[in-house]
Amino acid sequence: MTYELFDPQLVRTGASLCTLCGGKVMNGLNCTCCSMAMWLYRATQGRVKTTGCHVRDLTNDCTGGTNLRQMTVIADHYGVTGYRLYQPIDFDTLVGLIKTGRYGAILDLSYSTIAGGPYDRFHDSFFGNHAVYISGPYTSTTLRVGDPGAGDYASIPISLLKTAAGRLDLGGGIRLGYGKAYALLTPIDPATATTTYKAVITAPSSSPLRLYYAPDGAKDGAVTTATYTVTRSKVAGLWWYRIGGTGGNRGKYFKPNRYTHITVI
Amino acid sequence: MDDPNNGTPDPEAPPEPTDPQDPDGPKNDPIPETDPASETAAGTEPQP
Repeated sequence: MTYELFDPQLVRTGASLCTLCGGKVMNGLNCTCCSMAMWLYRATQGRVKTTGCHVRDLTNDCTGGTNLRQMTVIADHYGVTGYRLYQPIDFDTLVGLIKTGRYGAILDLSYSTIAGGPYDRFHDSFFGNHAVYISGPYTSTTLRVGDPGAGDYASIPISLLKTAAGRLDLGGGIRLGYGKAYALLTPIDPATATTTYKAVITAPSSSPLRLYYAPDGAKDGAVTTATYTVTRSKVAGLWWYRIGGTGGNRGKYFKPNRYTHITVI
Repeated sequence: MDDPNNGTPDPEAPPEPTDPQDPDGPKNDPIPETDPASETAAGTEPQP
């Protein structure tokens, strides 16, 4: 089961006004803190459900943005162990870990790479250092990214994130360098005892069962009649079944509906 | 002892962090709360 929370940063995308430090509105400064709220929910398997504003309050920092080092203090505050702060990590190594489906991460990046393009959520008005929370894979070439400044999770190309991470401004005009990333990795999700099910699918051709690359991920084919061995997980409150076995749809996911008959093996 | 992975690295095992290039790391920059697109929609464009 993947625990996933979205914490908006800006009032215009659903956040409450975050007034701290004697009356200062902090929303625009809180992307790292909001990413941390999402990170904490994943890292604690849903036990810690807080907001970026509260995280910001815990930092006791009233000046400018925040950094990943400050977030390790917050992780310690909540008793999280087993996380890792990378300054830096090889970007491809980080993506490999994310693609296992058992980690989330806060990724630092420069928005200058994203601004003006199709994934720009700030209408070409922001070009600085930014932090986003990565929840998992979306397709083989995209990740499921929670940008606190946006309104929800989105699928963003790995290649774009790699360039943006490498453009992170370390100060004085020094960029981190292509292929590297500053990231705060969650502890690995606990292994769960897995129950295996038999899924018999008998859908009409007019309404085939949609398959997905990942839970809430991209559509990846459809079937009408099939029998699979599957495992089950809950993502954002919904059950998803992952196809096992050795067939061509191995590893794909589907949501149960009236055309799926599922029994414990 | 059996090696279930036949000596290949465990893809789920994260590497240990190396010494940081920068002990603290850069802070994020402020995002403008005002959406330029909504400003335009609200008619705040300069009048000719």
